[in-house]
Amino acid sequence: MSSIDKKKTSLRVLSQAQAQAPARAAEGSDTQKPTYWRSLAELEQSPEFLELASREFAMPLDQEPPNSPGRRRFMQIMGASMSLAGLDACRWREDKILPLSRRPEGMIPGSSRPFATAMEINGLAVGLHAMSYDGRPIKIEGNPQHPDSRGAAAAFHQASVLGLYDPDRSESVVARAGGARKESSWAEFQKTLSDLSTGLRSARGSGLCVLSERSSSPTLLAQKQRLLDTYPEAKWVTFEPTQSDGARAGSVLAFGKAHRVHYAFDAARVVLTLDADVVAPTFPAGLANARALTRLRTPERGQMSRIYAVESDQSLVAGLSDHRLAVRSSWIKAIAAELDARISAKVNALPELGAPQAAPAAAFLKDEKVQKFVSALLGDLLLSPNIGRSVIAVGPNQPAEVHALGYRLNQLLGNVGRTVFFTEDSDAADTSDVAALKSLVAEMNAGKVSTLVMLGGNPVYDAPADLSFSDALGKVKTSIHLALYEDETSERSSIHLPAAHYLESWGDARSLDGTISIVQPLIAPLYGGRTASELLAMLLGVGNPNGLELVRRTHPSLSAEHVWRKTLSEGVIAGSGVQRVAPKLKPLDKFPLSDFELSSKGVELVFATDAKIIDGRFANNAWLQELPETFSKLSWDNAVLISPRTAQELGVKEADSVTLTLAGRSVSLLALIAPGHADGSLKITLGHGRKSAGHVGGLVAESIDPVGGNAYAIRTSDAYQIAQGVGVTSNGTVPYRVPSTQDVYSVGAIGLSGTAERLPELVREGTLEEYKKKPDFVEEIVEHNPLLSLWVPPVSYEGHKWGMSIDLNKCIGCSACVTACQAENNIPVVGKLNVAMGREMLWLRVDRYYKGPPEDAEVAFQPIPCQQCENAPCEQVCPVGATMHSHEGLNDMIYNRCIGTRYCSNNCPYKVRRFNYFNYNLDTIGITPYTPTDDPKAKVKAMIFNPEVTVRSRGVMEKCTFCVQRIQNTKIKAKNAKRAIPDNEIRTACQQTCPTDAIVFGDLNDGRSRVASLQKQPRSYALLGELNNHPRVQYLARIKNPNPALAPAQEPKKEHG
Amino acid sequence: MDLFVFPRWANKTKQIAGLVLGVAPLYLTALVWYGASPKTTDVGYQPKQPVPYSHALHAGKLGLDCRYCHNTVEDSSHAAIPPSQTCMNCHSKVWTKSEKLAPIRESFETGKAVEWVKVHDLPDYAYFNHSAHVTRGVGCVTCHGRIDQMEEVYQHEPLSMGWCLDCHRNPDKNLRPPEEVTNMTWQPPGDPAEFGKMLREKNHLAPPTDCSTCHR
Amino acid sequence: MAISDVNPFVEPPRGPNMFAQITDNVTRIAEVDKPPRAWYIAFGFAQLVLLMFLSSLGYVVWNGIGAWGNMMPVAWGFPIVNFVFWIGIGHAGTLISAILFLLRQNWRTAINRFAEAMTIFAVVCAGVFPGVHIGRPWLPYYMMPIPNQMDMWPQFRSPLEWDIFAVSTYATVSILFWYMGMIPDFATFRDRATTTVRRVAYGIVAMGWRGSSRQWHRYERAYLILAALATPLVLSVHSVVSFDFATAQLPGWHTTIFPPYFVAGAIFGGFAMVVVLAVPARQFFGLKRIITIRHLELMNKIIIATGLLVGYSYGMEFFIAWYSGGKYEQFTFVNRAFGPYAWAYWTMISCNVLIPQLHWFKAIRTNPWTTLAIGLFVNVGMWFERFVIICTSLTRDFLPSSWGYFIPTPVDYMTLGGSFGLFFTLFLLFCRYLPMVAMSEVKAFSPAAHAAHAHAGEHAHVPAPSHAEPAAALES
Repeated sequence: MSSIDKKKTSLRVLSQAQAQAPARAAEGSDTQKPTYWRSLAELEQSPEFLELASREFAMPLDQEPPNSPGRRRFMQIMGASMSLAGLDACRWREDKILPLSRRPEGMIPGSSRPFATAMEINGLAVGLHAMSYDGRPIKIEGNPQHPDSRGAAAAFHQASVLGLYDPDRSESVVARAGGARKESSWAEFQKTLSDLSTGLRSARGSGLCVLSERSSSPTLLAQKQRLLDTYPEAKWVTFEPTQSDGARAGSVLAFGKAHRVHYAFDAARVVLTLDADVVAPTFPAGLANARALTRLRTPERGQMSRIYAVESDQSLVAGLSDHRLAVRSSWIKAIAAELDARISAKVNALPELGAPQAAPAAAFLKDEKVQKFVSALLGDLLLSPNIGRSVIAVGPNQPAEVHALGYRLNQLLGNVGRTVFFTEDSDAADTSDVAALKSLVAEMNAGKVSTLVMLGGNPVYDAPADLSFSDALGKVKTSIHLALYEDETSERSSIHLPAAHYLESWGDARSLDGTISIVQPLIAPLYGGRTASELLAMLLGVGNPNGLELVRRTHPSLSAEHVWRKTLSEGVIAGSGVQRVAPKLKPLDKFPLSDFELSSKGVELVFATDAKIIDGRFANNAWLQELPETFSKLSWDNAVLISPRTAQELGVKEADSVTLTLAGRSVSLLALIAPGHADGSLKITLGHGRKSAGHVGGLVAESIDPVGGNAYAIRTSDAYQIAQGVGVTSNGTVPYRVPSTQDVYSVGAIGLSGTAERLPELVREGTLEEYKKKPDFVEEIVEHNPLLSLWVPPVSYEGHKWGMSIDLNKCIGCSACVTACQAENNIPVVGKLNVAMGREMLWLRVDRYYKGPPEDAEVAFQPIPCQQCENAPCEQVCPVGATMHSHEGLNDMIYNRCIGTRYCSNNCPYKVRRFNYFNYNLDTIGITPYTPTDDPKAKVKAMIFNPEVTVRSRGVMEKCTFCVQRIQNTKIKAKNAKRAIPDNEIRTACQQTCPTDAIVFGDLNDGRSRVASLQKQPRSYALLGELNNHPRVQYLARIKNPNPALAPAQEPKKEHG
Repeated sequence: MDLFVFPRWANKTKQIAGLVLGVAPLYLTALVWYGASPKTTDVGYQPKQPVPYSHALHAGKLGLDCRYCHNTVEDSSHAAIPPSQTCMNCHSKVWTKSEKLAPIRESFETGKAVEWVKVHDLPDYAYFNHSAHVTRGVGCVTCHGRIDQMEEVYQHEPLSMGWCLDCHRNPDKNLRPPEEVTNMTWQPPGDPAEFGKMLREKNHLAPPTDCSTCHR
Repeated sequence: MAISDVNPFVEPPRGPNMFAQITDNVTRIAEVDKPPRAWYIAFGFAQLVLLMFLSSLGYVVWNGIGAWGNMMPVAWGFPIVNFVFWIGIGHAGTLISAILFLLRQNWRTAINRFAEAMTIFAVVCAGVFPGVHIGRPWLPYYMMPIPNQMDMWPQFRSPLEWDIFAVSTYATVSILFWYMGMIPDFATFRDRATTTVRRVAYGIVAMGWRGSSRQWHRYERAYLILAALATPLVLSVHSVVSFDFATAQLPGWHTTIFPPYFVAGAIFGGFAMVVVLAVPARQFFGLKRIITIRHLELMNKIIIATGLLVGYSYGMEFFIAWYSGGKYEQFTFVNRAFGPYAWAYWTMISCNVLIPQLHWFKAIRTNPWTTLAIGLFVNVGMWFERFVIICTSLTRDFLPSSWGYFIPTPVDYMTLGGSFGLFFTLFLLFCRYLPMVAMSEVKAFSPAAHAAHAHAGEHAHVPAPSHAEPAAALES
């Protein structure tokens, strides 16, 4: 028997457990899988690793990141992670143990430790903690010390670690001449460079141009200055496709100088967002905003802020808002003007603030709904207790004028200095990125640019279409492109340089408020990539630049070793934030309002930053591609979103393929009808449809189709944020299964009515008034018979009793928790087709429901993990006892015992169980950690696995376990130390990363624990509690704070899903 | 052609058939039961190690404490195999020329690991934690046998799930004062069961038998 | 049984040599060197379909069950639909042989043999699915209560666990029952055998049957006991299978009416399958005079009866849903009739409730071909019944967010269609090599048996001693 079982084990069951290899590797670096070294030996034969090895061991000690013995042993880990099992005939695999030959002080093999670092996107850094398991970064969390993170991290932050091990990353310097691709080396590049620089020096740098991504790195900016000093004639252009110039230009309009605006939402009683998704992670300081904004959405405090959202598309803040007005983005200018006119009339504006805008004569402003909304809004804004206690936030897509008006309105309402703050943006360019790029391209075409150095970015793909950057690039003699991937731009550059991933880099970066974080590497560059500042150093003549030195030179204040180490471990330089200023508002002259901005003719097209892959930089990240988009629940694609009415007018049906035409350029992609979307407005997200992203995001060269449609193809420099007069033609329904995880197929009339009927019970909601009158109103929403059980409860939960509380009033649907769960629990990616077939594996899903009439639907989010029922339907029906109840009330799932009858899933009322219909790790992402492979790429991929969680193979059911591995490890630690487990020491992955603290996990037996008190709150309810399952997860009902003046707006209670 | 009923000799087949059908299942069961049990297949597994390290000498004769080398055992899930460094602490002085120790010296110089072969090898989906057992007073000898008498280490116990559960269900007989865990020859004063019971109550030990105790 | 109730349904041949004729009619089928061309065509076709079945299963086992359309929420798709369908088919046999036997329905004798065969083959087909539908088909022994080093037992609270015992018991008893019934006829085959191979082969399976009155005596006793044992099984198996659904919490599954409803449906479908098989069989193998129109008519009457039972259950489900006041329950049934799977639901209703009503007309229920057609419809309907129960309920469970729509893949269809290949291959082999009709029993209730009683001597020439015996044995 037994050996049979064991054979199964090694052959099948969790033979993939070797997937754990890394895991055990971890342990590996000191115990466990021997094969590490065996495979390392193999590895060392392969050139890329030889190169790597030399670098690794050549690394001087001072370059050794502090407190990171694990990393010193990177090579061991590499080996380790690549454990390959050869099956031994009589016994199962023979394992080897590979102790470090010298174990660094204080290192305990097989344990994971956080290292502070930071990730910069579009010039804004978010501080992170990278969990390193024996030198292998396997998970990203927020850095509690960082002002913009406070422990939270967005989906793309967390998924970035997958990018580190992406086998599609470029591995060597590549030189291209006349279409011929030639692998080269840094040494050769060094030579080329020295030849170049002699020429350039003599020419005082004329013909040299650096095209950089936006960066706030003090080191990089210092180098930029040095470069411009060395090469006075040289040009430095910054281009970021998702950068919108509105805020900067608006600030110049309003104050004559570029400023950054900061909102203190936790002090605001009234919030108005103008096309501004202030809580979105892609919004400046979005994570911090989310935390602050939701702080005042706790009815228990007796007071709640009131949030008004005016926007064209459904945004995350819409889920929070009490009132929402869906209008075209291009109308918001007029609305702002209207507000200005009417507010200025009310408050006695100081003369030096100048005259207000004239109330625009726009038809839609006369619309009854809009009128009601605006006057109700004004009523709130001008209410005396709210003066100086409100925030008006303007979104990046809005033009300068609207931003300027926003600043002015905040000034008029006395918010500046109380809820709205400014800091000077000293690094700001004096033109928009687009303008800068335009002039650069002009020079390139004129042959004025002989050497173009591109620090990251992918302009060939994401530059405005009308600039045809690709052609211009052809006219540049030497074009050098530093990038993680050999992408569209690399393919057209004469030299491609592999960039270092930020987890491999030394660096620094500022957050929105200027706080400097140090970027420290967790691992030596896998493919010998280098950072932008290292490349600049080379340009400046440093032979073999040392990233660490570069950073330390920038921060003399940290020269003392103990200071430096302290800073590193904290991840931020204390007090490095920029001083707040009170800029003086200039009178604004009256803005002209174009016909398009006033009337409702034509259709507008809004280009939006993609919440998952941003500008396309994460297009090859499978976690992000598969993550269901917040509203459409679309994974693996993007779609043009259309409001129901507009769709009807345009003759577009759900899931049609449509062609968008703009100034002779066109793109075809999926169209989805979005409830609550503004009529006459179309939205498309950037970053999809890439042709040279990689094996995940599309690689036409290897006939791997692009994912989604490329919005850049029709985005031009003059229609950059909001395009007017876009042509829409439907190509009718195409035979295509939409890779969406909710409402895959229209649920039909019956489905809609059914949803409408049960929605109030599933997502329970009330107003602040109702709540005050009757705090436990949730109890009455569902009436059911007394819940009696046939059995006496089998377990009496002495000791711990784990439970979770999810606050629906705080959940913004950002889905960061979903990615956290995926990273923590080794959840496989299933791929587009399998998602379309309804086989996504994500353990934690965020349900999205629409409420009210389609044309202005309210949205509600509901995260659904396994509810860990005490009286669990799944447990009763498993014939082999593969899911059993623990004494702490968890539904343990034993993958190794599961034979896959799937009965448990059928019987689960929440459908939280996920089944491995295929061997997803192998079939869809080619990770074969447990079947011998010589493919180093597969081996590198396997490094991502979390050793603490079994990797499941084909044919087994899996589900959320409340991160039982975290529970177990903490329990053991505590018991070893003979201490109790304090509340909040065990945090599930989803809870840890939630920016709004909506998820709370803990011990229900511990009366003082937060979860216990939250579940005792009157508005706490159990989802489908009437089924007598006794779920351990409870939800806190949504409480809205509507403006009485708009109460009827709530009326139409017809709901749909 | 005459009727075919059964020829006379066929009568014997009855008994034979009866015998076969009766005994064969029993025999097979016994065979599988014994032949396939971890006791048979796993116990005594003694792979060849790259360095003929003798626990009998070091742990036995010289009386090194287990934790001198396996020093993470009390605070980690893994009783870490010592780095070559640890060996060199002594062997940079004694046996510096020994051929047998060549791999150690090489590893110490090159920084590459010695490839020890794993003896006690649990399936990867079973999560065993040394610290949890050692700090609760489960002796090394309980699972690893008389290491101090092994020239080369072999597997002494089945390490099967059933075997683990036996102890988790009634641990008393395997409990000892935590300070005695590395003592290979410790004997409980008086009745082991009684003494174990006393220790269990004293240290509030309740070994869990939940699935998630070992499987995640 | 009282000898007086001479089987009124077996038409002439009358006269002394009628036993010989019956024997001849039946045994000829197995003895002719060349069966009718129809048989070869049918068999060849069945083989192809079987091949498709095996290849599709191979594909699934090799790649994982994702090859089927199963998804979340429909984790059970075609495989379980097919399983329940075949198990249902496998009911008529034992019902006919056991229950009708106990109820002294002598007319059963003409059809019980291949009804039993059909039962067994259907159970075989059914048995395939649970095995391959699980995610890790190499580990089904985890469901068996075998002692092991893990100290793990199966979980006896699970209906799937009950299934294993219910179905395996049923299969065992059915096979015993079937085989035992054939023993005297094997003896006849043996005695008429012309080649050694046949002689020995049939000789062995006949287990030395000589038809002595002692043997007959014991035989009848044993047969009676087995019948008594088998009877409760007919009711238990499908009741247990229905528990897979009834004990679940899912709206549309969670209902107490399932056991009787499933059993009625099973008998309904089973009899439909019997007529579907009987009509061609009597056609091609010249058994018209043994399986007579009257037999078909009687079966059709049972089909009407059980069909009405099933129809009642359908109605009752709706009533209960409404009466229970359960919101989710009500929605499920409205959705069944008018939701995305309405097409399946109405196919089911028309095939199972409406079409069988045609049997009220004597002209139709006595015409073999209309009988055949209606039988086919019923089988289609019964398959859809299971499809409707599984798919509509799962695609519309509690949380609207997890609603979905099940789309089968080509492999699904191959597996479904293929299973018929297995069934018919087995059945055709049975027709060719085994006694299709229980000769001894038929004879026992033939007028001749009556006559035989009068002047037993007259047909001493009848070859096997077995033929005169039954009457005698039955008397005693």
